[in-house]
Amino acid sequence: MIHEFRTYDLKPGSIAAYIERVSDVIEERKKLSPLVGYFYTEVGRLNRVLHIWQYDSVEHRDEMRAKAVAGGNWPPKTMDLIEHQYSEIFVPASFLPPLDIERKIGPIFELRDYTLQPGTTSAWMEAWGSKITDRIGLSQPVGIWTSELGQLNRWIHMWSYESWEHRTEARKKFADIGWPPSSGSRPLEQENMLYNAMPFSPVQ
Amino acid sequence: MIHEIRTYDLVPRSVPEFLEKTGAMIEERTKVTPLGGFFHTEVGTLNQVVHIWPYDDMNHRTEIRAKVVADGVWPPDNAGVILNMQSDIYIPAPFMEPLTPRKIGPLFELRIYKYPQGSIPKVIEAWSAAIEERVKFSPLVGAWSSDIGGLNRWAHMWAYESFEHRMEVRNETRAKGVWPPPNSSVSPLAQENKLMWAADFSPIQ
Repeated sequence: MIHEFRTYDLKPGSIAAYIERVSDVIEERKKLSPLVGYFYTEVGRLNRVLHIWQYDSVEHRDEMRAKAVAGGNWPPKTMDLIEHQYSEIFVPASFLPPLDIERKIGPIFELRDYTLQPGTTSAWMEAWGSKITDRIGLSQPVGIWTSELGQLNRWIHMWSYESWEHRTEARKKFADIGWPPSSGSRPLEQENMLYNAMPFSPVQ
Repeated sequence: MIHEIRTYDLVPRSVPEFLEKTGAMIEERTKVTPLGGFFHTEVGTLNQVVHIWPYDDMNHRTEIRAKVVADGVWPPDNAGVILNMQSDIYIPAPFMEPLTPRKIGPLFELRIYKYPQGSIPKVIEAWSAAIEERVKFSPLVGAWSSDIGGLNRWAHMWAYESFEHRMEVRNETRAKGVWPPPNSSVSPLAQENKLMWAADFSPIQ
């Protein structure tokens, strides 16, 4: 299974119009292949949207995208609002339990984007896999991913919190459960951002 | 008056070490000229510190920086954990209060907007008219326009009691038409923000 992350930078001040236009056509599109989540930034690079789509494979992705366009419903008429578009393919971490598509776990979503030292990803997998059950006890993941196509050696994890207080409390308990797990190497770069879910996002 | 905003990217997970070494020397350093504020990121580019140093002008800055190095007062030995250093000179907005010790946090939001060339005076005008109402909801730490570094930047920093407080203030000021400044005739080209905590030794807490 693969997840396509599509990140768009919009013109400042156009988020509301963007959400409205996508909402007109998204339900039809979701029938073709599952949408994992659709978000816009609250803290970080502003005026940015992120949508995550699930496919069986890159071939399945190509097929579904062609079908969506041929159906005349897709893409939404948002081109005049978009300044930049990025598409990257990530693979969900194998140690995560299967996650439902429809989930109510927010409303605060924190995406943490790490760049790992080349060659260390498997050690990270093993270390995180051994602690993931304890970590999920503190707050639910939207997902944990490794990069497959795009900028490589990335380790992306997205967490949900019911409130900022919940986040603060969860992070205080990290030491008790040994989080973050020691993989033997520090990341080269770390960045995080807070996202809000759009009304039609399956994960809320 | 100028404010130098220094932004350092640190080796991941070395913020505590950096702050400890800086904290050990800050008292002697701030006897020479005051520190405006010292922060580290919670959301945004992680492992980053942002510190603000007020000076009378560029000559004063050059003179003081040479003096503290010559006297052995500064800088802290943090070279091993710093990946990148950036210095930008900003001009405080006419309506901002001087950076004096205040307890207004603990959560700080720094927002940096990029505007089309030539529009900063219009931003200052729109903000000047609206800021008095806005600060009734939560304190402004400062607002600045860039002078040396990335140009046409407008940086502003806000203090909140919590993230929920921030959301409430933002929703309420928008709903009441208080903020963003209602009569602004210019729109930013790009916007980014980050959430930060104050270092223990920051005059602004």
